[in-house]
Amino acid sequence: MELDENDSILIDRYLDGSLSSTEVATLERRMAVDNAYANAVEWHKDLVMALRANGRKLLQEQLIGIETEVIRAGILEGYVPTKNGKGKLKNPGKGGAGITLIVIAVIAIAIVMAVVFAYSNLVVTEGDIENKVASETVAPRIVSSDVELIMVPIYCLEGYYLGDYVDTLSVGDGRFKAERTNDSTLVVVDSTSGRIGTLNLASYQHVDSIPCKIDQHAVYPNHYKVWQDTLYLYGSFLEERLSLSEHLVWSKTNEGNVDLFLHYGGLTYEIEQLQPEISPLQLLEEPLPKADSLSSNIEQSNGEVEESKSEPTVNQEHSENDVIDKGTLPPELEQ
Amino acid sequence: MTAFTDDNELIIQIRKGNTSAFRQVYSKYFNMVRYLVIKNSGTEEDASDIFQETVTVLYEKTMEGLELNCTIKTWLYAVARNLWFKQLRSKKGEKVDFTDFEERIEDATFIVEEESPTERQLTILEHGLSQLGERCKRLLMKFYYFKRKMSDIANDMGYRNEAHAKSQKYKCMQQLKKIANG
Repeated sequence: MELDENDSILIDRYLDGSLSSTEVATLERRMAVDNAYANAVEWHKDLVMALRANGRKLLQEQLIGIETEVIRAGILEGYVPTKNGKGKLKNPGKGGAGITLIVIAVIAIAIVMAVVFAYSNLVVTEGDIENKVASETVAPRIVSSDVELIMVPIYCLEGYYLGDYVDTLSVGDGRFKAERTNDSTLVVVDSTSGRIGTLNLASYQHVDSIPCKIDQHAVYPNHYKVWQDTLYLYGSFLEERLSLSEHLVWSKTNEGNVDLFLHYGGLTYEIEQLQPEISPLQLLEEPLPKADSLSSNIEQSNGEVEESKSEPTVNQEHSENDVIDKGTLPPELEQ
Repeated sequence: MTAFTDDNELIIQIRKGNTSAFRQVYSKYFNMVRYLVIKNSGTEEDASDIFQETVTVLYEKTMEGLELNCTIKTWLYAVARNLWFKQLRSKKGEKVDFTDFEERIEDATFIVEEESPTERQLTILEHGLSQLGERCKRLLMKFYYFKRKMSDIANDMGYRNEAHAKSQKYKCMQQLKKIANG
């Protein structure tokens, strides 16, 4: 038996525990007398549980990376039990000063190798993973020309992200903020200098951005992953080049689908919005047209937002109040 | 690293999937759980696994609307303790002694019960999801794991409206079932 769409929604609510007691009783009565229905419900439950297990697995893969990162960075706080007072626990993997020095030396060597790789664009390590990755071919993709473009400038630095909020755009490390003030204008504010630029969005309906992190990775040249709405770039990407002059583009096709593209080094790559595994960047054979009409409206130079010579379309109160602060939450979340 | 000084703010950021928030949780509380596990017959690997599981539970609970009635430290400790206790109990012959610890929390809120996956769930995981289209997988994961609202999913994924996203979700579920069914 196939569940219809309404049944499917009902069972989702049943599994989430959001049905009323009357609805639960009705559903369970039906399951008790209708075996086919009961089986269909069990199937649905298994599908949901499997999806959740998959999500959990993906999250845990990400947590392994975070744990490694935190331990390597040496930012684990010690723990002193308050009752038995048995002393602070040493950080894992750091058995003593000698080992600490070795760890530091290894990290330093790794950083030097990554920097050398970044500038020479050579793969400097060898191994199974590298060979596997290198042997993968990146198939060129052709994108139909019926795309509309919205340019979203980013700073590829760790930062706070407000992109979930329609009409609000946070750029990279929080230094820049862009906010749509009416249907056609996006105002970009440099919170350090207070300078303002504007971007004409004309008929576009959705503006978004994505936080981005670079790992100059010798094993994964030109790779990426997207996890929890953060773009991770692996390879010889340079932060200073991923500024306002190089950018991500959301495009909206005629079918209403939204895709993300990365322009970097004169090439355009397609970014899957959910790509939790490190994957090769997909190069587009035909670069998308530059959104010149949009980019020219941002008053910029050398990747920095310059003060607009014309009257900004944002009022003074707006620009003062909205200078971005990494820790500031939108009012919706402060409740 | 961004520091979230308030527990509630940290929870909000975890709910949003902010990596800095996860990093902060690891940085501040990993050693606490590590101490708990290692002092009770565990290894470094056990400690790492238990903390990972604890943070996963934290994330999932925040997605379900967790409201803290204690500090996040106490919450993490209690959940980790219960997880480790459960694991130790399942290991035959291990002596379990938590008397050393200053916080003994028996509150049912912190008890984590997990069902073992059924054979069919494993089939769906191993075969169904790997063959399902990327867009479908993305949609289903957003809804069922990340607990996104349909209106947000429609917005994120470029569907015309919420109804369109719902109908796509239904089709994706049917497709997944069909694949898993062989």
